[in-house]
Amino acid sequence: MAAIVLAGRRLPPRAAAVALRRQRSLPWWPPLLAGAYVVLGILASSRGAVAGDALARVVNADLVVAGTNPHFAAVGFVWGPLPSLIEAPLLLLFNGSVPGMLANGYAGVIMSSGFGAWLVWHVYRFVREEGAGAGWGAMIAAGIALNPMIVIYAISGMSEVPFLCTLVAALRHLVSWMRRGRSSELALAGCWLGAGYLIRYETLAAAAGAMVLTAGFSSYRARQAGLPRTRQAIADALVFAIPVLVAFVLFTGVSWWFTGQLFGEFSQEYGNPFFVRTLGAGMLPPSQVAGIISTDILGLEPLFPVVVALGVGVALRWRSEIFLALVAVLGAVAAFEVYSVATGSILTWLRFFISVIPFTTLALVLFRPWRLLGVALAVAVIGASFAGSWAITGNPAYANSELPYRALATGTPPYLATVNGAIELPGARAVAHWLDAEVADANTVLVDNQGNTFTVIAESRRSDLFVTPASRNFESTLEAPYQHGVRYFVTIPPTLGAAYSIVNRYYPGIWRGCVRDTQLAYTVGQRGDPSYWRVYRLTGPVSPGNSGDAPACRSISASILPAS
Amino acid sequence: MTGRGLAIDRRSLAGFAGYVVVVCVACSSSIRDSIGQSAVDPLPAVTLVAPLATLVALFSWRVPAATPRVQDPETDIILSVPPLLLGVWLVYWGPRKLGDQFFLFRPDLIGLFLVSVALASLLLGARFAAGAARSLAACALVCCPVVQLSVAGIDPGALRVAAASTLACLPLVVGLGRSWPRLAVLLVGGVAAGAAVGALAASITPSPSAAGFSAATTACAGAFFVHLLLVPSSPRVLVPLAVTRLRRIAVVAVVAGSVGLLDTLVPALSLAGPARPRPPLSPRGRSQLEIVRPGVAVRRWVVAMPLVPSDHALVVTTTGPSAAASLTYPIDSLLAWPDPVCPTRYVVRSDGLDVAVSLYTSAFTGYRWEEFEWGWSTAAGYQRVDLVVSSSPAGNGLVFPTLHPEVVLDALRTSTDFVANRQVDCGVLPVPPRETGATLEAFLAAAGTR
Amino acid sequence: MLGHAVEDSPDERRKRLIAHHPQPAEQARAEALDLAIHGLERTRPEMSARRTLVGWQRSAMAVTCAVLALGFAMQPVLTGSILISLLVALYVAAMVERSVVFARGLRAVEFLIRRPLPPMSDEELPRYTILVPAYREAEVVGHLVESLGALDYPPDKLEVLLLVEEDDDLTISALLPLDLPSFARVLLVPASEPRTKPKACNYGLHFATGELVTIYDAEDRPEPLQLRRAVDAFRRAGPRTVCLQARLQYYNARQNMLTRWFTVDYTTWFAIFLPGLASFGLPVPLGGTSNHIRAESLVAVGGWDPYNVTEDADLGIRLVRSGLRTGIIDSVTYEEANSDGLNWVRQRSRWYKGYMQTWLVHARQPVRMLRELGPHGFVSVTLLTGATPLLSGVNLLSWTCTIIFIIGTPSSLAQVFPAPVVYFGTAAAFFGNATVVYVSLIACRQTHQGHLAWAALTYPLYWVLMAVAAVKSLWQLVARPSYWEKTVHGLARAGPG
Repeated sequence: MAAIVLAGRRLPPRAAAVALRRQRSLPWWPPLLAGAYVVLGILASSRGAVAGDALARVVNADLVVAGTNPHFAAVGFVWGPLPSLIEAPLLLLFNGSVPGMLANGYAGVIMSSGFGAWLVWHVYRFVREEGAGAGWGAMIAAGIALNPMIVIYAISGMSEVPFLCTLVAALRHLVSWMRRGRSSELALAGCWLGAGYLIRYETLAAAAGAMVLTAGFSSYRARQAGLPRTRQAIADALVFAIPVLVAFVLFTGVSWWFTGQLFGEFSQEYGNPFFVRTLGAGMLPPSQVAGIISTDILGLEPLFPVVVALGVGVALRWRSEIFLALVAVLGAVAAFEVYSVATGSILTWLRFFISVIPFTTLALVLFRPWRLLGVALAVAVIGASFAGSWAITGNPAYANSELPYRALATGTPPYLATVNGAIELPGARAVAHWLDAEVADANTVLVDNQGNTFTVIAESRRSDLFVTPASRNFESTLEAPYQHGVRYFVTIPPTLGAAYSIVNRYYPGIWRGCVRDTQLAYTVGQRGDPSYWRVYRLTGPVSPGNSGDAPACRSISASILPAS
Repeated sequence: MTGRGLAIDRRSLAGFAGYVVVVCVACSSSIRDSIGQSAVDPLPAVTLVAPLATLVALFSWRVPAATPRVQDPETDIILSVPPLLLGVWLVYWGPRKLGDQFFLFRPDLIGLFLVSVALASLLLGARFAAGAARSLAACALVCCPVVQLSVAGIDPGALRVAAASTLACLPLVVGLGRSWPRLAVLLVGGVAAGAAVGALAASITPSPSAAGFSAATTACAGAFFVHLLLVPSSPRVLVPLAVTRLRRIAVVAVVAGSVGLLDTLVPALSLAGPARPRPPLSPRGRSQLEIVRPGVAVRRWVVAMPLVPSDHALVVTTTGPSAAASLTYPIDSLLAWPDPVCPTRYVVRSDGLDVAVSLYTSAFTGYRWEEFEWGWSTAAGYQRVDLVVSSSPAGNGLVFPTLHPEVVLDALRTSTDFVANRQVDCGVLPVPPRETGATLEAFLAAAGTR
Repeated sequence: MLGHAVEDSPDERRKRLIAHHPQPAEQARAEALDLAIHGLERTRPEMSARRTLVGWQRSAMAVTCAVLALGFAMQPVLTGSILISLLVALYVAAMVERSVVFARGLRAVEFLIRRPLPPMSDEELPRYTILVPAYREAEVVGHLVESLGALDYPPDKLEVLLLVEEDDDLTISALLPLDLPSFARVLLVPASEPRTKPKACNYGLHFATGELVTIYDAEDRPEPLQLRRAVDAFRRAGPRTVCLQARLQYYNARQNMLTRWFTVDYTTWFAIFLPGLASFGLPVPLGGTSNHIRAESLVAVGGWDPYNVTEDADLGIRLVRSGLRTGIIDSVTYEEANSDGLNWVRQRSRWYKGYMQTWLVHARQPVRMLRELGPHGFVSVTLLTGATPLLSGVNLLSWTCTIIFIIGTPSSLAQVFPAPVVYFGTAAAFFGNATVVYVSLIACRQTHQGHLAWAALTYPLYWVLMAVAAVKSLWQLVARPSYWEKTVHGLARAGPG
């Protein structure tokens, strides 16, 4: 700074110092918090509470760095690639020394714990930048950091908390831009949302809301300054939107190039429509859906309507930018989720409404001028949120992904059996260990990394055994597996409620043993079925869809041991 | 235009003279228009009008007033290299990459455009090339069949004509840029002149279809000539004529009219088939070539049937919802004969159909092909059919013409054919051989279309 | 007012001009000319661009060419891949460096507020010399008088030297009817090679009497208070800061698309980039005009290099290498942007040629350069000046990769462009272009020029022009390094083309 000599411009010293110091010093507690989350997460997953989506992301990360065809595109295009890309180096470095990195999904735990601590730090800085003292900062930050729902997702390896982190970071920069008008803040907000798009696609709702806010606010400010409104508004909107657009175009373009599908997240095979079709069998009546939505939201934040009402009042009265920004970013996401659930395009899972928690908690900053009353209100809201989250995450009717973690907290064994609940690893582990022991050659086991069978890849120590959709020439291998050297299929029952594996779709009846030239090699039970996992050995060439040609479709009972 | 004489721009004069020469040469052999050009459907003329419009635009281009007089040979060379490379690459690579779809997209046209831009930069300077690039690009775009097919689907005929004319004049619109008044005068004057001539031609010639084709051509030629008179350039050639206002119009009318009349010396066949719709011809099993667009499908297959002298025949069909749609893209005219051949042509009438027959004989190998072309309305829409019956000397294997794009040659050869939509004949037989009719009837019977 | 008859000869016109503006004695002129041309060469031969390449550079170039030729002969695919990958990696490094400097500059600029100029009495103000080199500038010389008159500086402390080549009949004829202010005089530079602007400025410097020196072009319109701001800044900055660069801006931004792009270019460079460089303490490549320098320091470092076609960039680096500092002042000089594509290409290719010349000159002693500039300075000078033309060309290469990636190539050609290289190139193209567009947009927004947003978004097309200029400059660097391609001015008045 000292090298700049600017005639006619004076640098206010405090501003300069503050500006430069702003991002430099990291207090002691974020790493500590991250560490605490990691420890909790490791404890949880080592006891069996592993989230399905999280482990699947770790497996995708593993396919990027290990296995027989490591390449970036193996990260898959159904979900945002960023979590897996962050986990990939962790796996690369530590998978040999810490087997649980992959097998128990510790890489995911580390990823989401880091983002969780970062989220809390952004919340703390947001509150402090509003001019609040350390007490308020600590209170609000604790309100997020210790919230049961946030804790569960920070330790689980799922992408919700990283997503919230990007939203709150963008929010912070957006408010800073609204206050001080610096384009660099707007650009940073856009970059954060761009990163958020690479984590979850719902960021687009936040981006849309924030863009509207940016354009409107910029137009308003330009009018006050006497500058041409439309042009400044467009320029500002572009400054904000371009990073998001770049992320969008990049991901869409790359996914189109590699998979031929523009929007894999909405594809029929693995994306949302698939889940809705298989699990949401039959649309619920609107009243019931509305009831579920409101229970979810009120369960997570019982005083949500109070805060919203008061917030609207405060915002109108004192023209607060914070509330506008909160609504534009977090509120837009929440509204989008509500809309998607209401129209049935996604299912009514509790975690889709997680954005109401930071929305409500951050909105408490609005009440700081009310002093003691504000403090009391904040404490009440946060306390109610803790209680409500605790209660609803223990309720099997509303929470399925969160139950395993809650169950651990209260000492009961993790809940089994639902999709995206904890997946049971012992069965997959047994299959994986058997394969590790029995199978010598690489690329001989065909398995899908998207259906529930991906857990086998996770539990195995030898990634090179598996042929997955990420492998080279997967389609031709699938059409003619024996000729490509595949000797084993890993299958699970083709029932609704378990996501289809690609093996089952191309070779219907394989699990029942109805495909000619296959032989049951190994079986182990899970989910109440004594013969859930079945590994079939190929004894000759097979081709898709020839299940009807088997000489006899034998039914397999648990007493039949694998043929040698 | 001074009172002392008619000031004509030298370049424009040369261009127009060249055009007249080309038309005369093309007319000197007997020109046969492709089958079924309807009087109200000048769509196939899009590809003729567009290059003319481009020529007009190129000749109209003038250096803007405020431009500094700098010449920079280094920049000219630098700017010419990438388009040249890219153009050559497209001409070379297009057929290999696109296969059959090549005929739909014609990347060689784009390649030719790039090469012409490069040559313009090298020879006439970067400034001219930059000014010409837009018109040339518009011309390449408009000549692409896939763009023309987009217009073919418009149903009311008048609207289709309007759309086709607008499309064809795109190079002119793009090239002349913002000088709207001048452009409007050119277009209106040209179209008016051409339409007048076309109407005159229609009233005196027996075939209405030819006049329709002429209308579009003369519209452009008229615009070209009107431009000659209106462009405010420094007079290069002072033709010492004492010309009054009235005679100026007369000159325009005479020149445009002569061009139009030349065009009308084109025998053509009528569209009308029998009123009853027939079942459309379509292949059993896979066809050898398929180009399917919304509304138009082109297929090529070899069909077995007991015909004398051969027992296999090649069929190429273009099926579309309307006559215009299926006639817009005369892929049948792109058949590549294995040896250099020059057809003898005649017309047969069979079962209410006007069938144009071409007889190809190869002097080198002794192969003989009879090509039957007609159009009829079917249940699936209008279908244009091209049937090729091959006979070989001394029982050698049958050889049929191909529709594979040939590198570079196609760009040069077929663009002129395609653009002019004409083929040069070796003669016209007034009386067809008797067995031709028999071949055709046997085929139609075998195809179950009687 | 001197009239002139149409049938005058150039000699007579020159004599009439000399009669009105007396020139120094012949011997003084010869001495000044000699110093102007050979001064730097004699005092610091290692910093003169008289020869583009010195001994070791020549051998290094020859060896590199030989290695490349051998590589292409024996292993064309590998050599090609390595070469392309290296170039693309350089491109990526330059993008990163630009982004870092830009971010820093943005922060620096955002935190500043304007403070009013303190009152300075006329006696306090030092004597100021303004050098105005004019070569074949018939159209704009007339407006020069207005701009000079608008300057807010006491006339007795101001000295304007119009530097005109002796045989430049065009300018002389344009000057004859003009009524120049009292502090302005015309100096006729003896006709000599190299025919460059820095040589003329060196010549003028010899006769300059001011304590502070600056250069303006004939069509420039500086802000009236600029000289005062410079004086104030020099006072507050300390003795080590010997040079101050003002911000250059274009007054005909809205004329056509090219001027818009050019304005976006300049805005990004002068409003954000240079403050970023200055805040890092990196060498600041000066602009062509409005650089205010202490005369004695200028003479001490050897003046301008007459053989270098971008003498301003060279001077900026030379100043830093001598341990002196350059700053930025917040004052605007309005120039005329080139509105014609061909003219623009010629101007830009001269700049690029000069950048490469400058870098080659300064990199003659790489170790010394590293020591004097520091590692960050060394990298920044390389990436921002020396490598800039190369990178414009590399941008073309990465676009080619993208096109190949999309369209596909025959398998024989795929050998030359193996897939990883194509991916790398495509990614570099995508991110590089996106970064530049974004950076330009933010710069426009920051300087309240939202109407240039469309120009910022279509910036990659401007890069095509830059690439053409880059190729031309590479060719000219080899063929005629000191050839000064004159830019035609006066096009703005003609209106939109």
